[in-house]
Amino acid sequence: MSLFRKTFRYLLFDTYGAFSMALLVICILSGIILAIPFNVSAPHDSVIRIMLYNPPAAWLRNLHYWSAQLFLVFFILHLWEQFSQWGEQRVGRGLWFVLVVAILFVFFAMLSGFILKGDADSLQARRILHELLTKIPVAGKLLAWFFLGREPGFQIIYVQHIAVATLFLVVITYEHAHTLWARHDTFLVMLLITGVTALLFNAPLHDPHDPVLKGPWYFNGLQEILHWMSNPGWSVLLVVLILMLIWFLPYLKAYQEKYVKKILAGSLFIYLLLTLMGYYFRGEAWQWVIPWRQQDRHSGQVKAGAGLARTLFLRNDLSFQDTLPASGKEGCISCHAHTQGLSPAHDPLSIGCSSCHLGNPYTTDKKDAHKGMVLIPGNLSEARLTCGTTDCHPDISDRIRNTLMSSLSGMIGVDKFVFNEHPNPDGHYHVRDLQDKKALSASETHLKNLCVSCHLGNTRSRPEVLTDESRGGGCSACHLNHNNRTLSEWSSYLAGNKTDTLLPHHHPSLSLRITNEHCFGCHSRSGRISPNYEGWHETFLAHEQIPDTGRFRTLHDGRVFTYVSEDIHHHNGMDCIDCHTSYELMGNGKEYRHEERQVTVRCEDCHTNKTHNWISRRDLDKENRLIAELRKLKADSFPEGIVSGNPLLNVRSDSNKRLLLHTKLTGKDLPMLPPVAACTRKEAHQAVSCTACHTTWAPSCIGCHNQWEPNARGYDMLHDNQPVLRSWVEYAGIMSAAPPALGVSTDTTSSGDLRKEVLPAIPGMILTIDMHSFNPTSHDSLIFHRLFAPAQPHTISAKGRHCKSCHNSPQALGFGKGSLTYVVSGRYGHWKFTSDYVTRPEDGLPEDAWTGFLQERDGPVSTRSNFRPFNIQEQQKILTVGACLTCHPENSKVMQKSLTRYQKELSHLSPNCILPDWNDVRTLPKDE
Amino acid sequence: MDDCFFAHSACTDIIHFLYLYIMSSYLPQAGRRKFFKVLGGILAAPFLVVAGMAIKKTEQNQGKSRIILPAIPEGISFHGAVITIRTGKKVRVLSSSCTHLGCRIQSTREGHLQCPCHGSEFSGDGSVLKGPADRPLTSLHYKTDPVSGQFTIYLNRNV
Repeated sequence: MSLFRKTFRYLLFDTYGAFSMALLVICILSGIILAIPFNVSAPHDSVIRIMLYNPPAAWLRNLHYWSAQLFLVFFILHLWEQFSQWGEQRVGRGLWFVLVVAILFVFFAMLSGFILKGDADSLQARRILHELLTKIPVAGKLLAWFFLGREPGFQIIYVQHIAVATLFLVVITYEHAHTLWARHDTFLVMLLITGVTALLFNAPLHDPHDPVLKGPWYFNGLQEILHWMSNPGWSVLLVVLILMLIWFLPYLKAYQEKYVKKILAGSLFIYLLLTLMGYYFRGEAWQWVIPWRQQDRHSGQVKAGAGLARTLFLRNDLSFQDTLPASGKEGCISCHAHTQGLSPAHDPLSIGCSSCHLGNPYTTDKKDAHKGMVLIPGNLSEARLTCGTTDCHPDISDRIRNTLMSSLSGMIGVDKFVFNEHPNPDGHYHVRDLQDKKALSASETHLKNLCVSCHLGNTRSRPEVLTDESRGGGCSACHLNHNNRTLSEWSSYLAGNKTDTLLPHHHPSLSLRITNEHCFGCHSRSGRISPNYEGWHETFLAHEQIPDTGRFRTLHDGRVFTYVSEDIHHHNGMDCIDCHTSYELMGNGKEYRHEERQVTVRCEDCHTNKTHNWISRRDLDKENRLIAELRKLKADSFPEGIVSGNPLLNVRSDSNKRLLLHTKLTGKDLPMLPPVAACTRKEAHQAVSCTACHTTWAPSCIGCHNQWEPNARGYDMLHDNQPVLRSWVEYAGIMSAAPPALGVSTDTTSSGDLRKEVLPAIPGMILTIDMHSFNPTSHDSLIFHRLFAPAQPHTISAKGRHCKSCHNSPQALGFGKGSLTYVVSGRYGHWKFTSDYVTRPEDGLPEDAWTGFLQERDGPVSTRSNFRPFNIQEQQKILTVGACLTCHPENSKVMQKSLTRYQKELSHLSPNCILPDWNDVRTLPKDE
Repeated sequence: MDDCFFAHSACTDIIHFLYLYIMSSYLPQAGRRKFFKVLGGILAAPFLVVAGMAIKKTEQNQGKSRIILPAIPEGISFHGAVITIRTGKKVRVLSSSCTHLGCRIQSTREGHLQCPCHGSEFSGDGSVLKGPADRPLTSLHYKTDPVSGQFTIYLNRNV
């Protein structure tokens, strides 16, 4: 006999039937004891308490489970063996019928046991079984009632499991085997095998945070079949047919029986394949998954481990904590008791720990408990199962993926446009698509080295203090607030080699308390709006070079800022979140190309002469209503922003019907001042936006050069900021703070009209890119661009710009710094402009200009398709008024009247007025 | 009381008569056993009928026939056996039982109701978007109390 056969014979030293009988006895005995801690009126609860606080009972539960599964396996093997030995011929006809029925009872006993643990899998399995039973004609409903009872009670199914099914199986076993007791050694070996397995592997219990729901393993094949059937009632017929086929076996002729048995064997084999498929390759909502991929590795069950062995023999300090409702059902609290610092909405006593931090809540063993645990649940890679789980914030978790702060679509689109990889800046992108890309283009490498750390999907890996270098973190980026205590406890814990006595007790808070520090990190880049809002302008000084005079501030990353002037809203105590609300920041689910489409708040929402519409509290959408409750706002109704229509939750009216904005973090009440008459009457400046006048200064950056350097140390921001050798390097020219240039944005309104708006413009890109350094074969060797961007510099002042600051300023008009003078000779006057900067060879314009003096540009002019500098006609109009201003003071009657009756004023000029005649060739700019 | 007594004695008389008649005319000695078997069969039928009535009555008494909610929030909300969908003033109540195999739907995916068992998807009005289900979710009848504003949803009354 071969070694294989010898081993086989040695291991299976008794019949399959004997093994299954021994296992049945073990199952029944363990089940009887298990009935004591099990509580049928709260099954799930009692099973959890068994796993947490009763290690001996947990071992018995595992024993009960494993002996039952092995019983099923040996039962099938026993059937196979009996069929191949024609055993069905040796049994009386009446007994054969009962044995066939017993097959049904075996599966019912197994399934009812599965249902009795009462977790999410069990409840759904119960509903499915109920549906299938009711599909049986005539007696279906009665059968369902009889075997399952009615939701939510488990009483009937419990009785059927422990009494009816068990008794039936015991009786039938005795009837056909004439004994209930196997050989001693058979019983002992089975007890040893199941006992050790029970010590090392827990019986399944559904992981409450895992969305995968599956029935018991032996029915995964059936589930696969049911998944393909729109009318699953036929499956019941199929089961009945198979049973009838088995029943008919002894009544058939020998060759027919052989044929049928072959079919049955083949069906069993197919079913086993389907079971494997259903068990390993089906995941959430029964969709296909690849089990060795990280994100697909959810089994629905808490991760098993050898924790029970450790708990059984090592831990003796467990107490039954009845006073902690949710936490009494989690093992976490056995070590992490008295965790403080979270708001009532996130109190671990209500929601537990594992609803955020995952892991295995149903054990008190440290190693098992921490399997699959998430240290920082807010990261977007985890958020769908942590913050965004169905019971908590599911809609936010969906929206957050499309917001510009996650996708960086605008940033990527403009970068590709600047690198000449795309004809316009309006492409649609998401930064996560870059993460998996193998070969990155020039712009994509540029983004990887220099830009894309600023997105919400960037993973935070450990608790850290919030600085200007903080990036990413998903939900934690805004909503998590550490304080000195939490951070010092954490660092002591790490420093002390993570001993248990140093476990931190203070947890960072999760709240709506989003201070400007949360925004500062990423928004101190690009347009610098965070520092500008507070009045700081970036310099290129090093910390050591800071002069003695003036106010300076050095950031965490070493950049030095100097104080110019702060935004008036900051001066009055407003924070970022007082204007920018949840739908703007977290998105509304839609994908936007550029920032100004997603951010909907407008000055006129608050600063208006019009009467606001009011929305009642009951008509608010779910999110705004929740925010109103959390911020303890008492009002019954709220005004809606005039332009955006967003409900202004932090605005209320006082006793004099005056509207006040109540700042969210500082609690100040600020009157919402209406604009003065000069801003709202229909007049010459109709198309000028609020910000064009009221911006005091904006950073203007010119003369930048980008080069790919193979020896430069850079970063791979797509993969956790790993340092890389070989990087794009940006050399900056000059950054100055001055009143910004102005440009024209054109939009088509919903009625089809063309609407123009004058907005501030800052040079984002007067730059060169050395393409050959990156790709020597590229089409462009050196790319040069002169692009300005529409900006919202957060440096608003109460008083607007004075007339001459736009009409007579070369910078405002886009010509760049220089002297712009109106020269009058005789009866003729013409404007002259001399630039401070030399002209660039690429396009003959001064270094810092946007457009030529009384010229128009062609080609790309801006980072937006609908934004451009003033065209020649507009420049002429502005300079005409500028000419007036060289004589007439700004607040003179003439100038004031010209605002509303410009043409009329032009029609009766005094003989002393010398205005530029744009049609006269002598007024055209001369070549200097 | 008199009627009962009279009926009872009449019944026993009839049975006595039947017994004697059948015994004498049709059945030999083993007939007694068979007679009671037949009688048992005849008596079992009404017992089954009464049992069926008892189960039905239990269903009526103990089964949940309605759910009361103080308010229905905006958007899609899950309340055990029912799903409520509110858009502005419009309210719709659906049964959460998936029409494929009866699993309870308690989550959404990209705005659609998704069954966790085999992935069937339904839109906000209950119609099927993705199989294996092929029948729409049952719409349930509900009433609003004009005074308190609370909603009573009837589980056994379909729209």
